[in-house]
Amino acid sequence: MSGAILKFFLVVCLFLIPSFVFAEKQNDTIVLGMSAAFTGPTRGLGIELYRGAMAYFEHVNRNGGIYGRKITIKAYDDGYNPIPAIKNTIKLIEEDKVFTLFNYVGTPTVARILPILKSYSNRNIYLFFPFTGALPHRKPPYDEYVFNLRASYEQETSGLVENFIKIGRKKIGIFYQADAYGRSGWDGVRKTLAKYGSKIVAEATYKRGAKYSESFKKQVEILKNAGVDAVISVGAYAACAGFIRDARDAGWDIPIANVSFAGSEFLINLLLEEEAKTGKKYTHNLIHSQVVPSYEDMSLEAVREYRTLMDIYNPMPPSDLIEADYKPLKYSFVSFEGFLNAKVIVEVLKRLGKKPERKNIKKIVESIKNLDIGIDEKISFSPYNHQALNKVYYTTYKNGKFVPIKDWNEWRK
Amino acid sequence: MRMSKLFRKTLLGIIFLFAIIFITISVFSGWHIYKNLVEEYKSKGTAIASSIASSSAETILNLDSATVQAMIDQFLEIEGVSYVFVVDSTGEIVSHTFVPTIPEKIKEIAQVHKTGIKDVSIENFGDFLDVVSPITEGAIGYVHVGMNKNIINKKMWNVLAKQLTLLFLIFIFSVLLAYFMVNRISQPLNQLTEYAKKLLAHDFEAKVDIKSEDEIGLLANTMKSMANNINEVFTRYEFALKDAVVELQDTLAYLTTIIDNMADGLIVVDKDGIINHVNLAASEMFGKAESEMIGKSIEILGKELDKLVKKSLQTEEVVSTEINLVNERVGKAVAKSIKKEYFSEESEARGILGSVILIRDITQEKEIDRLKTEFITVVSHELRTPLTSILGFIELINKKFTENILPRLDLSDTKLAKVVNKINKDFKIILSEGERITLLINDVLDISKLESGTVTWNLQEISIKEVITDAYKALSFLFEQKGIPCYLDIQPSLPMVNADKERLIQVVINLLSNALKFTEKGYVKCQARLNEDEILVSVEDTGIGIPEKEKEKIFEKFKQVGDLIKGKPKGTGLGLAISKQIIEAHGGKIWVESELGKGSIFYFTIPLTRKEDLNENTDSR
Repeated sequence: MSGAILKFFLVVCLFLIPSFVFAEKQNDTIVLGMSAAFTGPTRGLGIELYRGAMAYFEHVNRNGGIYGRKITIKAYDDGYNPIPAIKNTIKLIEEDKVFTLFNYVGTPTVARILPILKSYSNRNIYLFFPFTGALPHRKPPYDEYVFNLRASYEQETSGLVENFIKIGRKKIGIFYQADAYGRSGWDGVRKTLAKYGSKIVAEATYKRGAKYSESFKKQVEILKNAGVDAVISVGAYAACAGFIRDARDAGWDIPIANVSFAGSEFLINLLLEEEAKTGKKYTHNLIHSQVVPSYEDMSLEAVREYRTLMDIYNPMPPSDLIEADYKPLKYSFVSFEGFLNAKVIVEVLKRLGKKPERKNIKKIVESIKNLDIGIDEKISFSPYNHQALNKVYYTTYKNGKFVPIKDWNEWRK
Repeated sequence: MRMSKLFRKTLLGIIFLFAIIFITISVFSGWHIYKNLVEEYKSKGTAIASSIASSSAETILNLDSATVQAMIDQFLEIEGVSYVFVVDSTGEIVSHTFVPTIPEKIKEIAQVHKTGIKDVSIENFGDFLDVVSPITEGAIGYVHVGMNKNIINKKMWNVLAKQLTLLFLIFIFSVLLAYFMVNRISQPLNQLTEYAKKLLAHDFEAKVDIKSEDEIGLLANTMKSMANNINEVFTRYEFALKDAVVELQDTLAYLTTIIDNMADGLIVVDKDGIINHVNLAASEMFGKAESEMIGKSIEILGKELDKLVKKSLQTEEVVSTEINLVNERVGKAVAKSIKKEYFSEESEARGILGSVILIRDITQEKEIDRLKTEFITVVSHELRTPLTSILGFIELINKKFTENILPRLDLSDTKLAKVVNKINKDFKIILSEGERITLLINDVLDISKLESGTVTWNLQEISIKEVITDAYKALSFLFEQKGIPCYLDIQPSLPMVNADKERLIQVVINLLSNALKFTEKGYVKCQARLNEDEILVSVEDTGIGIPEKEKEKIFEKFKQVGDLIKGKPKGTGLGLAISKQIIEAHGGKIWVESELGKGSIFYFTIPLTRKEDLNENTDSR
């Protein structure tokens, strides 16, 4: 135990050496705690989210920081598993004394740390902008400790269901991760269908942590045999890509929609690799719902800024946190989300003033109204609304790019 | 190394015992573990289910499946939990952990709103304990927790395997321990066994090296001293045997020398009449070499000898006969059976092993006897003729003296009267002595005839009663004269016998007159009885009796009871000898019982069925 602590301490020291070089005092740095998957089948999410956020923090830090304070992220790997996530959170609060928690990834992980936030409520520990659209942290009793930027899975799936119904694809099946994340998506689909007086026709699950190399033929078979018109896929990119691969291999060409958490670029990359290998087509008839605008939309100021800063800094997480074989994406929806998260938290930190105190966080954040961060939607929080954005963007992959879907009739039945 | 039998038995025992222990423990612990695990899983499942149920009410009401899912996921991590699912009040599964999809069976179970535990078996999925707990008494829904029964079995077998491994190690250890212990016991036992085998082979010099102080050591010591004792006894007996053999050899040498150098011939036959020993004298007597006789039947030595042997083998008494030897010699053979002292009742021979025959050459004695008889006959004959003349002349002289001389003599002359008287007296003496001599000569002639076998027997069916009464009539006046009563006691209706009547009367007269002669007072009694297959005749008197030593002699020739010098002989002394000859010639016997001073009883017997003896005896002589 003490060895682990010592090792951790050394890591922290190494990490903090630059801070000491540039700043004389510890409190010259604002440390944000992050627990996410930096390894495993969903590592891309944690890494890209970190990269996007750090790109902006670097920019802020290089330009005087926040009242002279630099912003850093103290990141730990949880491998997308709840128990490490819980341990990391406690460590971040107790040992690293982070200012706030930021950029967590995943529903099963976040859902389990919520009670910790509640237990630390006297110390005003808040979680900012977790990379999940699940309901648990958007509903009482935990919603007051969490601030969300992105739209919920319920909003994502609801839109998908409505669009599918519009084009006559009423028999909807769902492929989801057998955990709180999958359940959130499942719940969204179910509730939306219920509005139309129908039900999920068939459902298939997979176990969290499933790799792309695994077979998803059983799941494909279950849904295909049920005769569904469209599949809504609520999973991590490795599993979703695997499912698409096996569906297409089975000659099943129905539209498959993935939610934002899938990390569209990672999913497409896996399928492209498969296409290169087998010569078959896997990337068609795929719908990707996003909770941030497309980083291809150069009309947005935030996109321009994001691209510039990513190009300049191209930050990477500490090398001991990630696996050497990881190849970062130049741009992605995930890192763009991280970038936007960073922009909002910087604004929050600025508003906290020269001497930021945690007890003021809630009041300050809830007071933000109509904040423009350079996208097509303004940011507003209130004591009753801890989710700033509600817009869902539907994209599809065409000609090597993610393009917004303008006409769903392409997939009309 | 040779495995001792003791160890093998012990090993088998241990294996058997362990097999029982193995099975018993395995079955018991298996059952116990299984039961405990099932109980544990049930309570675990129940705890989980009720824990989820108690904390999920609000979230379900909030329609927040994801939170419920987060909660149930948490419990899925608990060991033994295979699935968890929550059904809302409408029976819809709002959260579950099934991959890749909800089994049909679970969908069925979800519709059954019943709290409790039941067994569920799902194809391709496994066997489970489905624990159901209601949320708010079922108003909101139910929680199902599936505990994996397969894990229970796996765990059970795991524990059993460990237990059996441990038992097996203990078993190996026990076998080794038993091996050493048994070896410690059996090693000296093996030594003892070897030692005992050597003793059995009379190797008393063998050594056994056991020094332990336990029972085995004691046994070894006991065996050692036992061996020593046996050795001593053996040595002692060996010496004794040697002495006995030497003694026996000496005795045998003596006996052989005596037998071989005996003047009499000696033949030994076995119970079947086969000759197995012959001495030198015997082989000379029969003119055959020893080798020609040994192993042959006694028959080869003549009919008489064969008959004698057969007779001897049937009786313990000494039997004898005369036989002819080579060179016209005569021998007397005496045979006596050899009898074992102890014999079993069933044995046919009644312990008779054979017979010893002693043969004496009596040619010379026979010749002397014959010469003596012939001499007596001749002398008697030559004596009787002149004696008859002498007696005739004496009677003539006496007649002439009485008729012619006596009347012419003056008997008043006392002197002359005296002389006449003397002459008369002398005449009487001469006459009576002459008669006595005649009688004696007759008797001598008689016995000579009997002995020489020249008597002609007048055999016919006669009555003993007549014999006795006739004899008594002849003597009755003598009894009256002496005043001694004679009682005749003859059994009525005695059978007739084939005999010479006159001769038997002669015997009875002899006996009665003897009785009268020696009896001064009392009586004489003659009895006749049927005694089995013979007639027994007795003559009893109350006379002087016969001394013991005289009893046998009185049947010899010229023997009389009493002092012959002092007492005046009354008779010839041949009566009993003649009687004996007559009776024996009839196949009977004659003997006397007597008590000195009280009287005597003379007995003789006449057999009813006549044997051929009379004729044969007649022939053989």
